[in-house]
Amino acid sequence: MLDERTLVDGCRNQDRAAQRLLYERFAGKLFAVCKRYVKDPEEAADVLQDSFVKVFRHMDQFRFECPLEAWLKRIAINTALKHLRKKKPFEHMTDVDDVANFLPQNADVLPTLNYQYLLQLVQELPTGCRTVFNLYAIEGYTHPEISALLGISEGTSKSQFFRARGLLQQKLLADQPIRTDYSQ
Amino acid sequence: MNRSDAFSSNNPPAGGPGAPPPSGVPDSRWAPVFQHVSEAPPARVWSGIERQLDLDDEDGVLPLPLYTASRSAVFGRWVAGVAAALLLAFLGWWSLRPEANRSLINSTIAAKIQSAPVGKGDETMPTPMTSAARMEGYASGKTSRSRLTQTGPLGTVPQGAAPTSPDAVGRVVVTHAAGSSPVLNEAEDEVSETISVQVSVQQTTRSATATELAVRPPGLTRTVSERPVLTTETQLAFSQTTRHSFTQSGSRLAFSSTTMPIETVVAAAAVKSMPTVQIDEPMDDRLSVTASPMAIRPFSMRRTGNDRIVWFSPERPDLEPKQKTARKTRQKAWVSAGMVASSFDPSVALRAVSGLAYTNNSLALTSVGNGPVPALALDSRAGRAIAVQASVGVPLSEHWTIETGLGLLNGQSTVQSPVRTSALPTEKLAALSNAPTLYTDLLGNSANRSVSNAADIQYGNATQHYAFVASTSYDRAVSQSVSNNYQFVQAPVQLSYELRPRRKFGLALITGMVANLFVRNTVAEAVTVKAQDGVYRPFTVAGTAGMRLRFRPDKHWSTSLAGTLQQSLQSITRPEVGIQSLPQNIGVCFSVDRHF
Repeated sequence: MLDERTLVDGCRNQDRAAQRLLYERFAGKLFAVCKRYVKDPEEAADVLQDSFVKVFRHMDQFRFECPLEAWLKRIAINTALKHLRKKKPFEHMTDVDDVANFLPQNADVLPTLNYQYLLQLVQELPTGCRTVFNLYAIEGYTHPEISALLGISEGTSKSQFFRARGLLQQKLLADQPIRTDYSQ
Repeated sequence: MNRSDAFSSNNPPAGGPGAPPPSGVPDSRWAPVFQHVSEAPPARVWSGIERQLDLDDEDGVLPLPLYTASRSAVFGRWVAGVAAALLLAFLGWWSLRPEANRSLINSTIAAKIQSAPVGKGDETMPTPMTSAARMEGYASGKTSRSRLTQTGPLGTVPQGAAPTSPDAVGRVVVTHAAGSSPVLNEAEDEVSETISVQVSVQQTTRSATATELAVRPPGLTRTVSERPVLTTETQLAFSQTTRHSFTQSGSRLAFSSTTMPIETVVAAAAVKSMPTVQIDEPMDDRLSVTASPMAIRPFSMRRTGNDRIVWFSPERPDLEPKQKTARKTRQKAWVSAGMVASSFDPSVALRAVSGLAYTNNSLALTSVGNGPVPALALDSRAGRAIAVQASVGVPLSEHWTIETGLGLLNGQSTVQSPVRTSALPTEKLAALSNAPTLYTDLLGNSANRSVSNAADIQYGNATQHYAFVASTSYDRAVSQSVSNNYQFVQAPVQLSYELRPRRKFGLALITGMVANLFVRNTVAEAVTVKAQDGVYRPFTVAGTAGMRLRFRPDKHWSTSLAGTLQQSLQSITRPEVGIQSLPQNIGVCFSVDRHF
């Protein structure tokens, strides 16, 4: 298996075989990222395609200052955010303070659930909530960073996240009788 | 959770197109579920990526305005402008060159005696009035030929013939419909052809049914006239987008062409505003858009969003990392074989040498006549040069390439030189064609050995040097054209900067040095002066600059057209010789390149 530096050098030289290797190595993980942000699988595939095209065109900007996978993920996330922004700007999101009281505290049951079920729960969230939840809870962005990324206020980011957690808890509780079917 | 809510401004977005790296910590319950998950994407994704990457190589438009405004781009634009100006100047000069060249060739054999008094020797040069007259004649000749071409039979519409305003269209349409004289001037003829197209488009529209049609392609073909069915009012609405569509009575016509010219749109709008166009008048020669029903597509039922064609390629690519693709090979070396047609001007002039004077201060150099005695001078005139060369290029980076090669240059020129006075009075004019001149005497007396092979040219040897010249008088008023035929072996070392690497049409700026190895100079078609004769330096250096346009239809082969300028940086004659020469070479090189 080629190391990352050889792979990146090959992609910089527009070596199609190296590009295909890079694609096959990371396409699965990036597609999972895209599906978390974009609900429709076809649209997620489009985002993945645009992400890789962007990667191959800007490979010379990668300076090995971070792991290649992290760099690729950030490009995929950025492409997905652009895709979502085209459909509906994030600036239209508003604060939803009332859901803060609805915040569940105990989610220890999550590790016992499988990926497909949790992905379905996340995908059923509204776009704004889903985006903020993905960025905050899964990618590890802070609310100030999310506000800068999406062009929203920090308060809106927080409220959207709390709303997302509330909605997820609601669904988890509602599906509790049948949750054992989704257990790993 | 342990995360910092402080957004760090020292954490710039890394990686350009990507989002900035997160500074917080993911949720320990949700993140592990999603972070290492992998899902197989659809097979169409990779093929789509390949198509988009391939499109990067297939654009053939020259980016004359560069994309970025960086410092290098500004510099590149400046250099490109200078190179383009040089190339255009050369092309203009070259187009007017044949007559001058013919006169030079003729004057090489026949001696020209200036009958004018001393001081008016320049009258042998073509006067500005003569040049202007030639220019006018040439221009008028071109114009007449152009008109003949333009007034040919219908069948092709010149691109520049499109009307520029609806008013102009309407005026010509009325003229044409009224059955005006078939002898039209150029502009009217061209516009009338365009109008025929417009009318035919309208006819096609009217004959369309209420279903959806696809008209493809919008090429202009000659068709027999048809009597269209007239309707009362036609509402046309064109849009200059990738799909030109218009509606008529509830039906929808979708042009499959994506490059419908704007002239057609404007013209169609103009036709719409003229309901009295006589389209039912039989016309034998009519240009029309060929329309044929292609397919009926349920447009309204189509789902918006993903309408792309999915290309599925079942075979897997060779994952061998050492295999190189076409893009990779473009970084490899290339060899080239080409020919250069150029103008060669050796710029021969007299050089001030100790012990030899060329003016009337010298006791030996006198002039005939009673007027003031001008200084003796040599008049060098450019001639044609042909060079064949083979070169090799090795890319240093994506944009920079070092090139070298080997070539053989054969350049002709003439030198107008004063004739030796002793050869004048008793000779016939025809005999002056080989009369000894100051130029031939200086060459001969500069040689280390006797080269007096020609009967009429008296050369000395090394011990004499300029003794013979100093004791001989030359007539400034009588000059003779002495032909020179230079041969050099050239070894250029050049650095080129590709403005458009990896593109089908490449543009490169070239600069470097050329080592000129002198082989021989055949003077007056009689005497051959070689490098070992002590007149010319065996090795001189010239600077070169130019611009090269390369067309690469294939990954292995390409053709190049380059405009080059070579200027010798030092005289090709030795310092002790009474003649100096700084050759200048401006030409166009056509070459065929093989890429590995």
